[in-house]
Amino acid sequence: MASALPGLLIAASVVLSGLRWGLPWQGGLVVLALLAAALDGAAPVRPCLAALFVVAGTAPLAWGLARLEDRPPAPGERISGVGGGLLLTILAVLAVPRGLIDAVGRPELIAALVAILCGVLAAAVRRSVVGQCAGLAGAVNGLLLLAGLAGRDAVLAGAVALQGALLLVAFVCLRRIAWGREVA
Amino acid sequence: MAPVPVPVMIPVLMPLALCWPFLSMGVLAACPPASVRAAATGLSAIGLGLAVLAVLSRSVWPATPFAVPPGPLGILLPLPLLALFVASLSADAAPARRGARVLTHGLAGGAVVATACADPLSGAVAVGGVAMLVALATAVTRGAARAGWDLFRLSLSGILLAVPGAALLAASDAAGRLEGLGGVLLTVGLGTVAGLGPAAPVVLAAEDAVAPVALAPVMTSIPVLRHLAEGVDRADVLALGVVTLWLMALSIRVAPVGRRGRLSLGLAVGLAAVAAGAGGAAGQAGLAALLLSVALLGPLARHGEPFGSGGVAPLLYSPLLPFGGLVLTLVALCGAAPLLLLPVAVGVVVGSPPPAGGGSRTGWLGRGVAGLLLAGLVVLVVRGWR
Repeated sequence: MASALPGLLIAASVVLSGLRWGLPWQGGLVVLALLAAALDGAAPVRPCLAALFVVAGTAPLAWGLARLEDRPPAPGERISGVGGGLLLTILAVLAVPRGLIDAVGRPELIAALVAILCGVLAAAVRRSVVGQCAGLAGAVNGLLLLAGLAGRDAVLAGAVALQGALLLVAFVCLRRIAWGREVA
Repeated sequence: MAPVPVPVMIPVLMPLALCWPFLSMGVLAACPPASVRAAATGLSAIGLGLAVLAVLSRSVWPATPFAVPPGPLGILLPLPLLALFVASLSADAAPARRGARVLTHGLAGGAVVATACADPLSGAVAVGGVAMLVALATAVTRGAARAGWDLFRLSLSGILLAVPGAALLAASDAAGRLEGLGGVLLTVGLGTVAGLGPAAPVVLAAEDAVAPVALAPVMTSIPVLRHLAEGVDRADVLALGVVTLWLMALSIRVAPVGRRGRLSLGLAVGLAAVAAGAGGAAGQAGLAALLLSVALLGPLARHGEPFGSGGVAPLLYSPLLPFGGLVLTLVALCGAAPLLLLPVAVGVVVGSPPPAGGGSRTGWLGRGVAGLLLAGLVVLVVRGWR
């Protein structure tokens, strides 16, 4: 249950994706969720290691993104993000039935689905590359939550690999776009 | 003395066929530059042979999710390696740099692995690996960082939708609305990765950037359509296919002649998605025929136009394998969704303009590919699709 709150916070932060420091904010939320899982679980070593990995990956990316000039979202983008995010949240609440899943798991599943859907939506509607990157990071965080919820190690490893790929490509592309080697 | 039973070697074939392209990457990386082209051709030919043997013997890798796809879909397994072999034979399509050749082998290997995955969850993860490789290859190319980022954003969004969808479908307690949501997420996510639906123009535009990415539509569409053909959400696949078909058909009408080859490739992929959505024996056979045509023609669609200036093998006007795939798709549509028969047929007619006169530039490779396509149609007619 502890990871449902960070999940909803991630989704909310992606929906309202006008934040300048969106990526450190979401990285901090994931670390919070992992540390909460470490407090809950019997084996706290792996979540702590994962939290360390997230910090090690997010900090340099946040530093790189801070050098980019982030354009605030236009009114149209904000309306699409907020309206679409609310719509997707309602859709996720309707799609996850009450009877099949226990009362503890349902909010977490909804939070993970909402984080993924809203992150993909933000990556699609934002024109700023920083906003797109923050949206994708939020969606990957949602996948991490979903994998942790389902207890699937393979999906968790895949999500971590996706996070690594996101960091790598963001470094390569955004760095070139940022320092004027490419026409944005 | 008892004869050595053939099935003894069958469990070895599948691991060999799946690992060979990755072994080839290492060999090519260590190869002296002068002999890279010959080595790439030989290695891809061996990989193709291994994959064909694995399909013929219906090989399985025990204790893993890797197996030859069932029924006519089994033909899809060696297709990425066939495209790789044709690309290494073609002087125009083969990448000049050694790194690009190594990467192309990795792409083909990833596509074969994704095609061999039996369940959609591992298939989605493997397709995601292929898409990430394509995006990374584009991103590290000088002058293409923006295109690489856009491709990466698209691919990652698709994977982030497909993996939860497959996980929801695989969950034991998923039923009703949750299963429906999983099916929609899987279809939309995989379709986005393969460049179907609204993602099609973006993927085809990114193809202009670098040589290994030229094969990306082939390498991603084969495993994706293999999994979508067996999925539960057929109506979404049909819709994605029709949208792709019309997007490509309308683009072909206004595209310059040099770009029509790639767009007609997208048209064939869209039609293959329609066949996958229609399902049934005819639909699966049509899907296999269309993807075989895409694998043969895809490497040639970049620089040359082997079948005249009207595009790569117009579906409507040539008595070749794509035409057979079109007929089978229409037959399958008659049973599955007769209302879609008209939009699909009109879309194909719109997207297959007659050759614009002009001399066709057909090399020995183009003639060979045309012969293979003709032979494919003959096999299709003689054997039937049942």
